[in-house]
Amino acid sequence: MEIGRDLDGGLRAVLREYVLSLADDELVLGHRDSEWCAFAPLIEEDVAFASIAQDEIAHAQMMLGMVQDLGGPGPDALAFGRASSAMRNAVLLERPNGDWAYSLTRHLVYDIADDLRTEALLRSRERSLVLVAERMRREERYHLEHGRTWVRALAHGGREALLRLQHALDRVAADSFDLFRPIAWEGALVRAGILAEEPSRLWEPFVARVQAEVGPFGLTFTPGRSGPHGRAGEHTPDLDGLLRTMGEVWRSDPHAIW
Amino acid sequence: MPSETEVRTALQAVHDPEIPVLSIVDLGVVSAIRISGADVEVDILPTFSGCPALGFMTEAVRRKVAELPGVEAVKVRLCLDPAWDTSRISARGRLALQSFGIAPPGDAPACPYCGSRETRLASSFGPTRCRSVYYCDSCRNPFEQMKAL
Ligand SMILES: [Zn+2]
Repeated sequence: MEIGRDLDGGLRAVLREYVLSLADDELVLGHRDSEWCAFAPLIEEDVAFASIAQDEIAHAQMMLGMVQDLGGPGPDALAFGRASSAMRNAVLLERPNGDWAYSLTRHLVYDIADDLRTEALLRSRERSLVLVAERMRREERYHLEHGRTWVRALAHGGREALLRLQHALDRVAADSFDLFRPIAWEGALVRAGILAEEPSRLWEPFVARVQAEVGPFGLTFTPGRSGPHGRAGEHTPDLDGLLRTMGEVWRSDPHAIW
Repeated sequence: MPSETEVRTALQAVHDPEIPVLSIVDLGVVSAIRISGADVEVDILPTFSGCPALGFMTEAVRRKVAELPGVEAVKVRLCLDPAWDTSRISARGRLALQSFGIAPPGDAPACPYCGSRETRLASSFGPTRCRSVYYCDSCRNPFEQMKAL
């Protein structure tokens, strides 16, 4: 079913921006996840991160297909052919993997944000958004459980582990507002019934859920309403490096058929 | 003009490349079949979204249906509605998985080697997108389970 067939041009454009931001979050984090393959502390985790990467990139591919239906270029050109200033991911997801505590903490926090976001999409009037959200949620619950299990295990790992977790949480908190920062056109999507509520209204439930998750270990999540603005295309040099690596093969022959 | 039953029967011979004993009909990915004259359209429900076998299965379906007498054009459509989930695997499909050494989806799987229920999850992420890894405390073998979705 094609998305947005009966929407006017203005609404199609803002919906395209919104879906693109969701797709870019999954794409960029999926690439970071793939970087753990062969470097994780356990072989099971090499496999886990590679699997999670496959899921995230497949989710990005589905949503980039929707962006194409809404009047954008094809998924490959979108994934591999854009400059960082055209990327709409939150900066949180482009940060290098850092240590094990940072990678797991970032994933858990992002998976909680994604859970809230896709749950809200289930109430969309756009059937194709509901279907994609349903599909993603079935797979994402394994990611959520993976992050939870590891953060719990690390939190019982003694003083250094706890210090590293808190340090990771502080770094993640500093970048978190990007995920739910109010966007100028979000009201239009709500009025049209495409979104059940403004994405920015999920900010407080999100902070509360992360805190409820980490609080029992004596950890705190205290993000402010500030930080980078990736949705507006303001990115770090780390994203340029990621895009160079991710698009290297495609750029060697953009018209090749795989 | 072929009948829907003929098409479905033919598709019993198309298998999941990663689980060669399991037909895609028993896997539950074949949804609607529409026949109009010599044209056949088959709806396929993608399983796990990152599944690399999807392209292979789509092409195999197209080729298999094209072999049927009276068929001229075959169209295979990927369809997200209804969403595929593991409850769509047939009873015969669950047995096929078991015989291949993969526990069918469900809570607390029995070991496909010795039948013991003394099993525990080792990792949700196995060698393919759709399998998790368990360990059997009775016969001390690791085994795989198809993840519930
Ligand atoms: Zn056993």
